Amino acid sequence: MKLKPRIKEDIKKFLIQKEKEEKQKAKLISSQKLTQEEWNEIFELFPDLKEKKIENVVDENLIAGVVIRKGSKIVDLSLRTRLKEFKKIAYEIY
Amino acid sequence: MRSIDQYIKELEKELTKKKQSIKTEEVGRVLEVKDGVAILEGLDNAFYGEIVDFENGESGFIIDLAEDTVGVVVLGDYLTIKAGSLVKGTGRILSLPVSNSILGKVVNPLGKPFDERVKIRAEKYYPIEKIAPSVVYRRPVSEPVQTGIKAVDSLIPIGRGQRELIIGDRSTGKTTIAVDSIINQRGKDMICIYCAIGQKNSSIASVIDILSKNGAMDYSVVVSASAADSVALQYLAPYSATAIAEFFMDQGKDVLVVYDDLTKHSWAYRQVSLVLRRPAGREAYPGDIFYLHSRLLERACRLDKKYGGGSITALPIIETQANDISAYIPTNVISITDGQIYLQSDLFNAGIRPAINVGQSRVGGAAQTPTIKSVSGKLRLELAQYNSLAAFAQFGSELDAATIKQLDRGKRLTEILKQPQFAPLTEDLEVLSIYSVTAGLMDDIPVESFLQFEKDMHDFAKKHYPGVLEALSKGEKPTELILKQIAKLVEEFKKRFK
Repeated sequence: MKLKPRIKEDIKKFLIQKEKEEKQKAKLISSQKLTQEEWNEIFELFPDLKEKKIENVVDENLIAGVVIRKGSKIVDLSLRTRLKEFKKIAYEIY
Repeated sequence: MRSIDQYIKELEKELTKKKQSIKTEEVGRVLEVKDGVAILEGLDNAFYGEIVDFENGESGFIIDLAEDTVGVVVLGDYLTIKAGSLVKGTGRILSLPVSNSILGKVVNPLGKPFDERVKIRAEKYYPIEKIAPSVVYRRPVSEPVQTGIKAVDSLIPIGRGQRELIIGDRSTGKTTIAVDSIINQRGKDMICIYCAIGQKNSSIASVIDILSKNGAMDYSVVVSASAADSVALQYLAPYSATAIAEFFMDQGKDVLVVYDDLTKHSWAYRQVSLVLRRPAGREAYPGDIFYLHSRLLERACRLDKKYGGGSITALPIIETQANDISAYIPTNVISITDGQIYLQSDLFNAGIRPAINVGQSRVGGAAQTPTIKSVSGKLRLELAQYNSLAAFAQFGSELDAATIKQLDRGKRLTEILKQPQFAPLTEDLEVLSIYSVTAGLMDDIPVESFLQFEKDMHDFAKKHYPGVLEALSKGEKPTELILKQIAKLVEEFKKRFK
């Protein structure tokens, strides 16, 4: 099957656009709804988040703290992960 | 048992050491889990050979990078990995902890000892996969590895830094030759590594038992991935063994590595490749099955003095079916290695043990001392003549006296090359035995009593002629005087033996 060149161009444009949008996206998972002050603090820590479209999800399982996802990169600042790490250390020492 | 106070103190110390830092991690998700292999999505910046951590605590290493998925072989239990669970990239390449305390241990391919009570201090981390040293770093072979087996040392010499294949059917004594060579390295300043791949745990246990009974574990390491371990570990085992060998080589030491056996290693790799849906080639092996072994055996080398001067000698083992050395994997490995020790089941059943086919021998003069070279030339020639005559002699009985004499000599030579299991000989005794036959000194001893005669003669020589043995162990060509003394020794002993 052959595509018309015009459609081909459109698809190409659409995919490039989509990729750009995808790059602009970031996901922020927090243990509770964040206040404006907390938002400001996060933006101070991660200046590159300011220009991104942030999707905020509340997940109580984190116990406290936030997890930020950008593409396949993740910054984990949750208490859950910290406790998990602590568990590991405790096992190793024991 | 530690007190609780101590325990808490250690915990506190550990926790205050680490400060909370913001670190970005690379993550992906499990798409599907197959036999020992997991397919992941995400992990955009992953690289080949990177270790990843699964949520259930297992780790894996990346073996396949497709357009938008990543193939990972799971090291350990893959049954508890669920689709959709998170996977973290560590950014580390697969490596194992090594230090001198690894000597005498039995470890798995990740460097973890099987005995939970012993700990190996991690002095350094050595990558499991490494590019072999280039020509600039190498120097030619000039020193032999003494295997302590008469037939090998005289006819198929192995040089330090060479790759010598041991090939033969099942139960023809392949492992025995390798284990004998390890036992013979006692007190020779050589580190030995025995790598078991896909073998029965019972066979591995018996090898370890023999090694420790003969005091060989002090300078040996056993890397074990048994038939019950995951194929990922079986696939990694020879590379890990080589990484441990490289650690010792970099200290300027000589290392002997036995890979037992590479047939099962290629089976393990075939399984991983088929599960990853890589295109299958001949006998369903993947296209890079040759590179699998060539990159492994190329790491055997002898370094130049400038770079430490250590060496790795490799003794890979291949098991054939019905003596077929022209099958796929055997031909591959034969073409990679420098030479081969070909063991035949019919020789083994005829009582010629070790069942080495001496017709397949090769001239490796650089890997022999002048002492053994002085006897091996004649031995090789006479054996070749015997082998060609023996075929003719079966037809008729009308043979002239010269032929009969040659046949008789050949029988005696074949007999003297026999050797019991786990009884390697030093070079001086090897030369003494072989010279006694090639010089015709043992022509009047019945072939049946050769074994006993040889053993008693060695004891006799050690007791009454230590000077001769000392001269033979110097590694120089024996002088006329020494040869005369050997003749005197044998004649004198013959009188006692009768």
